[in-house]
Amino acid sequence: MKFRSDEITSLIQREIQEFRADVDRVEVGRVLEVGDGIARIHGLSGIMAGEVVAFENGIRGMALNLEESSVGVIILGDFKQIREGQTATATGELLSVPVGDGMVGRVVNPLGEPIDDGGPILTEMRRMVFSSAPGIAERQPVDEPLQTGIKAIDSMIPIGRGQRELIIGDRKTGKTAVAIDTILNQKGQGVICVYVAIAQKESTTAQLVDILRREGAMDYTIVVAAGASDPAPLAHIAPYAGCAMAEYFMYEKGMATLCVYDDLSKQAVAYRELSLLLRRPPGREAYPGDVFYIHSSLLERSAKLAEKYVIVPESAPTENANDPVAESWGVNGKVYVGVPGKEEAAHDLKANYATGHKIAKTAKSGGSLTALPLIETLEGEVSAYIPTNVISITDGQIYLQPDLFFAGVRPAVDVGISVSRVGGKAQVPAMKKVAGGLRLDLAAFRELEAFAQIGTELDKATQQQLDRGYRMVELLKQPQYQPMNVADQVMSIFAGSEGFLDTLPVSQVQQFEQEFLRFMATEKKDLRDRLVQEKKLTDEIVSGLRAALEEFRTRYSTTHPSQASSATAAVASA
Amino acid sequence: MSSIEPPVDVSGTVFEEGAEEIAHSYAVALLNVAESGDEAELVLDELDEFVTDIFQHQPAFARLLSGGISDQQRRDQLLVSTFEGRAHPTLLKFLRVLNRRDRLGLLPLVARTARAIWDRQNNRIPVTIRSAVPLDADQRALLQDRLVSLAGGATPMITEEVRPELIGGLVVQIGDQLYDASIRNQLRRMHEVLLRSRAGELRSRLDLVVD
Repeated sequence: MKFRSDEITSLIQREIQEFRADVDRVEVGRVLEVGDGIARIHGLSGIMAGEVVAFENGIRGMALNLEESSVGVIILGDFKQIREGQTATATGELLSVPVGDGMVGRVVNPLGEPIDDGGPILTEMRRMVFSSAPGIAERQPVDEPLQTGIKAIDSMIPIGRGQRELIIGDRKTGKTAVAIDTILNQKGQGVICVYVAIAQKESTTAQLVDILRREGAMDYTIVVAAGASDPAPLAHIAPYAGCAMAEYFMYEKGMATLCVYDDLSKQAVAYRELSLLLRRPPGREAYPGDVFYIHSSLLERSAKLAEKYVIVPESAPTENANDPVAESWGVNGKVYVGVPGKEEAAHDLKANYATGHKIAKTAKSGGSLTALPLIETLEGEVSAYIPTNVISITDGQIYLQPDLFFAGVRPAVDVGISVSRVGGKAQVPAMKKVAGGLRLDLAAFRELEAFAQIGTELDKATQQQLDRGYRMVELLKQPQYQPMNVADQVMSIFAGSEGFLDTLPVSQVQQFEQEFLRFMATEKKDLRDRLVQEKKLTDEIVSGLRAALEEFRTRYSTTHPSQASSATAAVASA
Repeated sequence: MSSIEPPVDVSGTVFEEGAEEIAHSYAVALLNVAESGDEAELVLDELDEFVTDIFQHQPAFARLLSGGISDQQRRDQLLVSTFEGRAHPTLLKFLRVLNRRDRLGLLPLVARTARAIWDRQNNRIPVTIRSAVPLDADQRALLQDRLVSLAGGATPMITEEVRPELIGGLVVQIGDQLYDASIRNQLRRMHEVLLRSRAGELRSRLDLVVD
């Protein structure tokens, strides 16, 4: 192999000839003191709040405290390399991270630098880490579901695209597992996922990346990792950086995105550390006064952006990915925005363009950013400072309970106190229909459960409700890394609420469910496909499902005779 | 009070509150006293000299003064016996006041603050000129003219430094503004530009690599 060195030389030569030397004018200061992740700098009198500061050895920082004679800076790198007396330069820029398609599938640090073995990230675009949230006019109501693939959540605590749903619980209750299952379930849904690991053990993050890779989820996922040994400033900026990376896909490509912040309690702790070192006054639990703002400003950036429509000729290629629909395509030069815009467009189409035209959504509009922040509570204490803050900011919360977890109910979602404030609108109709019954069954069960425990004699109706409840709880159990298609979820819950599981012993419920779903996928494929397509429980599909369940139940009792007989015995004794 | 409860050394920790504000108060007080006798310049120069001589060159002695000797009166005696007749009387009084309040450790900060306040009052701005080789008289005169316009009317207080690592050219710092026209900086910039623009081109033109 030989390099044509003369050509390379000529390229460099040309570059040197074209090089124009200017006098650099910069603003400088001197490091007065360095602490854990922070530095105080004398000078830099014209610096802006949030401006990036470059230290002599290339490490960067961000100005947070502007005082009369000094500037408090958080150091975004190895602060041990910074010494008293070094010079620091104001860069005139705000903090930004690289964004773009090249980030997908990569593991990066909060500055967007790759920390996996995939080489440099080739992208020219950058986005501001601390940007502001979209305003009212740019948004529209949440109307599309974001399927988590978890029965208990998709049925009773549905999440919509653009929603902020908090996952809260003690340590080791499966918070991360819920988030990871949700990411796995986005496969093939056109959703870009960003997982932000904040002050997590590197081994945990490595394990998680490995799972995502094995399950094929890294094809649409970016992992932003701030390790437990990284300085606090990195943990503080990590969620904002991850959010900026997702925002690119939401704003520039009109795509749906999902951000998991794992977890915001650690971010608040990191911010508390910085604030105390910067000598900001401590408040409740020693958190600074603006700890609410750091979470609200982050979570407000989640949004469902308004869709924009134009009226185009019938022949316009609206499905071509290489030539996306642009706002300039509109035949009347008008862009219709949001839900009212869509209605107006339909009206205009009818009135002015009776034939030969159609309404098309512009390619860059209608993106969304769904946020799943995680909060770790101590001994179930949800009235602590940070949990109450984040509960009040988000559009609902999923509570995970340790006692449920240890009782084997996994995911350990406490459906009694978990809520979703906006997702219900976005639920698919079929799920909405079966979920109503499920919620009622479970509510009745919870009321009666206490009686059952004290061994009271129960009448037949009560006993039946209890039996149904036990089976429904069993049905909502779901193994990790096995998210389910929404049609399968509907069929399972339908089987339960229609009473097809009542004759089975509780221990058989999961096996019955699995085999039933396999039966539907292979032998009743047409019916399942119709449900997948229509997403509605039409009368026809309902009767089809009932018939299929009858058929399967008969077959199940013949293939599992021992269980069937014990089931019959159980029913007889009841 | 200090005899009952020895003060804990909190310098450099988060418990060290408002050292700057305290230094500021002492600096203003010192300047007011010195100005009333029209000897501010003299006192400030001596104070700077004191800080350089004692705190930088005799750190052991500085440690003794700023707390090494726990008895305040003995420190006072030491101050008087060492500096009486040598230091300006105002400065000596000031040192003794600082000693009585257990603030001698703040002296370098007080000196720096006082100097900054005095310069600001007199519309002076510190200017550092760094060059690879010492400047000659012509260059200096030329620079002086330019500096006055750059400093926006303030009087430049020039310090010159010779830094061979600059290779050539000049680096001028006026207050917080740094003007870098050194060869070192230009080489660094050229390095960045080459990396940025040519790296991509070279990578894309793999035809330059011949088998």
